[in-house]
Amino acid sequence: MRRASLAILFLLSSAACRAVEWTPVGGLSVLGGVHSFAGEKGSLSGNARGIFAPAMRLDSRWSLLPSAVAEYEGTRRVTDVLGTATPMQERLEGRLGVRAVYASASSRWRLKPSAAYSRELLKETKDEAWGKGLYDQTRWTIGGEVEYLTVEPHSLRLAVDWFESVYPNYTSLESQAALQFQGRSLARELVGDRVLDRRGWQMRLSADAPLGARAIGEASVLGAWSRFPSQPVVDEGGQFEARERQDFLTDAALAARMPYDWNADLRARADLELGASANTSNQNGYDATRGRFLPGFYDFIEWRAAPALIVVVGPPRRPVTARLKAGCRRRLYTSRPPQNETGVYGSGSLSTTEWTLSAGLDYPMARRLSLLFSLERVSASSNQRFQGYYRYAYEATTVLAGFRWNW
Amino acid sequence: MRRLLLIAAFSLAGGSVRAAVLRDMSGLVQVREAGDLRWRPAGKGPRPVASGDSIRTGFDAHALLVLEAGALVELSGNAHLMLAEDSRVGASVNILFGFARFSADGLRGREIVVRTPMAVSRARSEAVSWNVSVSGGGNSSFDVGRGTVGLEDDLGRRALLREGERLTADAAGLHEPFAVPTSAQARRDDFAGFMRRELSYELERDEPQRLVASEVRRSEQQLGRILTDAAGRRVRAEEFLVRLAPERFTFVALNDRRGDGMSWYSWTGVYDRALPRDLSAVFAALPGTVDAPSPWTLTSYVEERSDGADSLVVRASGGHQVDLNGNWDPTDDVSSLFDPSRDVFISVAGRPVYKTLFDNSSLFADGVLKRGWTGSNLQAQSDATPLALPAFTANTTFLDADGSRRVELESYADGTAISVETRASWGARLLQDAFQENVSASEFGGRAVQVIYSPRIQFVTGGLP
Repeated sequence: MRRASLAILFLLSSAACRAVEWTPVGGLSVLGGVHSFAGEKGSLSGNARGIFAPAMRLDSRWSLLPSAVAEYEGTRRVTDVLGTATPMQERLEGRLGVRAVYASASSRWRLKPSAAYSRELLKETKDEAWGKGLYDQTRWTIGGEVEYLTVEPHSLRLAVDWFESVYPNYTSLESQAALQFQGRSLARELVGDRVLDRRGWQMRLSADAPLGARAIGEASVLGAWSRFPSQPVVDEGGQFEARERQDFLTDAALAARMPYDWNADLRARADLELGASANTSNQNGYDATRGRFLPGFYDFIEWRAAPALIVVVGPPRRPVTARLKAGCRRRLYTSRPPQNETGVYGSGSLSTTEWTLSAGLDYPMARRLSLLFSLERVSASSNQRFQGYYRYAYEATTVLAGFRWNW
Repeated sequence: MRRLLLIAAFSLAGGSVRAAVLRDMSGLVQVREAGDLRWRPAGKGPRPVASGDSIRTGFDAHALLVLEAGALVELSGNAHLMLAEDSRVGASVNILFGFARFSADGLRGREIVVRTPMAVSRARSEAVSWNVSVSGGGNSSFDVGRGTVGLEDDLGRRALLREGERLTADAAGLHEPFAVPTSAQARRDDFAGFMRRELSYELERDEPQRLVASEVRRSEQQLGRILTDAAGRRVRAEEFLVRLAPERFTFVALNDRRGDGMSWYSWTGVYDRALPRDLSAVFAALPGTVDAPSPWTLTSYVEERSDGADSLVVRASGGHQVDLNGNWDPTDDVSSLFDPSRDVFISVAGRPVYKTLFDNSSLFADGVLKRGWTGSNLQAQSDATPLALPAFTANTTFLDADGSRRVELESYADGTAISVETRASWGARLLQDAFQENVSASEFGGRAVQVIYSPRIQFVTGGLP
């Protein structure tokens, strides 16, 4: 009986597999390079990223897109959190996702429920082992997207997700002290353990549309509401309240892209990207060495602008692509006063400014194989002079070369 | 099949046909006759079209033009062509914009020529079909579905396009031909393109969490919770205040090193009265006050360095404020005092300076009393009576030329010793750096307590001069 059931199941699944039309989508990029931070050069390392997504057309309306992403970063990029001042850092990330797409030819609407799981491992110092990194992270995202096709291929999209982010190796020292050294007054009441773990909701509204006959516009707004269930709010006396920390991060971005074709063998695109971010948190800071309360410690506003030029030379099927992009980013920690070299608090708000310049070349070698060259440079400055823990002013460069294979 | 029947019907009609015929029209189709400046609706058709006439179609429109030369031209929406010439020996059509499909069977030497702004194409076989597409700027694309088509650009370059091949032409002339995807391939490519787009949207969903994770990590660093010790190893650090009673507080600096476990520095102060919620004024008064005593008197304190197994503890009690510049002992006069609000030493010479003196103080290593003093309402430190314990000598050694490492060694007459090695950038930069202490004592049995904390607390509590 069991054998018969298995046989029927096998036949049914085989029939289903035959009915499904599947197309693999993916790519692989491997780059070697070096990162230097404030004149200190890291050793030669590399980055690699592989994506595999066996897309399945289930019927005329439903498609399924399972995806797997694996990424290794041995050479830091200038977009990383560089103020940690560690030129050597290794990151390993794996992501599994599944996305169903409902698209009817007779409708302008598309519905896309999805779920994703990702695991990120980080090694920041030599004494950290893979899987034991302090900031190793496990993330779940479950939600969906609704897309409305305006003028194809342009559309309006709204995505809403529930997320949970867990740092399995991070528990606060204070909570450990409370457990290990009971009665020694080494921990505050209400102390939490997994203080970085968070869960919440995120939303993203994005659209792209033609701007007249010669340009394309893109706009997006995202919001992420994070609750930190184990992180109580710090009060003005440096003690914990019963409330939990809650953050709301918003980001708005606008981009105008203006393509221009001299002929099929020589094209260019000028881009201008503008954006603003803001974080609002009910959490405060407390400087225990001064007994100073720092309300709104995590609040900030950020503006950014980035013009770019892309030049495409050669036959449309195998063109050489050169990119040049400049960027400026200014962040204002609205409630956090700057400090002098020894840590004395001044007046005003702590601000940071970042200038970036990146150049890249994509040179086709075969139908799906390209050589890649990339140069990134960042220069950061700040009115924060106390940099014992975190570097606010630095210069960093990343140079990478390698190949990309798409299919 | 329908197309073949149409061609056969018009071929059989022979001499009765005197012009091309426009038929099977849907949507907006207009004709401009030769010499006329106005576009007029083509009507429902069939309608004759003469040499020199132009045809254009609107959005989503369609029309079929049957040439006298024995070929069919299918026009899609938003297309514009001109029939340059059409006769029983051949035809010439100019495509100015849009998409058109040409097909012919049994041409028997009749010439079919299609011109675009960038190139000229000609039927080169008896049975032929090819698509012509003209986009902005006159850039043209030719796909051959059946037979052979010859191409020539304005620069005189020529190419022969065979079945299943595509070629594009622009201001630079003809490009290399390549294989046109089959309908199955095209369907697969369309689906792959659609899925690539969905994949990019899918990966975009991680962006908010990447931003939040970066901010979380950045804040932890900025708060000084992640440090690197002198050996280049990661040290976690947390500094906070514990308020267990209104009149006391504890400053705690916790450390954790991979493999070594947790260690801490703590300083607990007990005052004569309840302290305010905001302790900044209490901290400001800790090193001492000028001209007037502090409103809060530190009556006792406990300072501890420990890793749970070993500990070095200082206990003091009987604290009271004394004007050191006004007492009988000129050797304890204070000429400069640390100002925590500016992190500088200020000159206080000749002014009343109130500091806390303790009647009792003891130092313990793993609970063993090593040294201390006692007294009663001390008015000068020199009034204190040392406890009856083995005598000791203290030496300070600087291990580096820049003074960043120093060892303070207390050698006791009973053969025991206490060693405190500190690493920091002494002098002007001391307050800017974390302060690493390596404490060992004979009682520790060869072990050491390592602790990193902000040196500022030592300035404030008087642990550093």
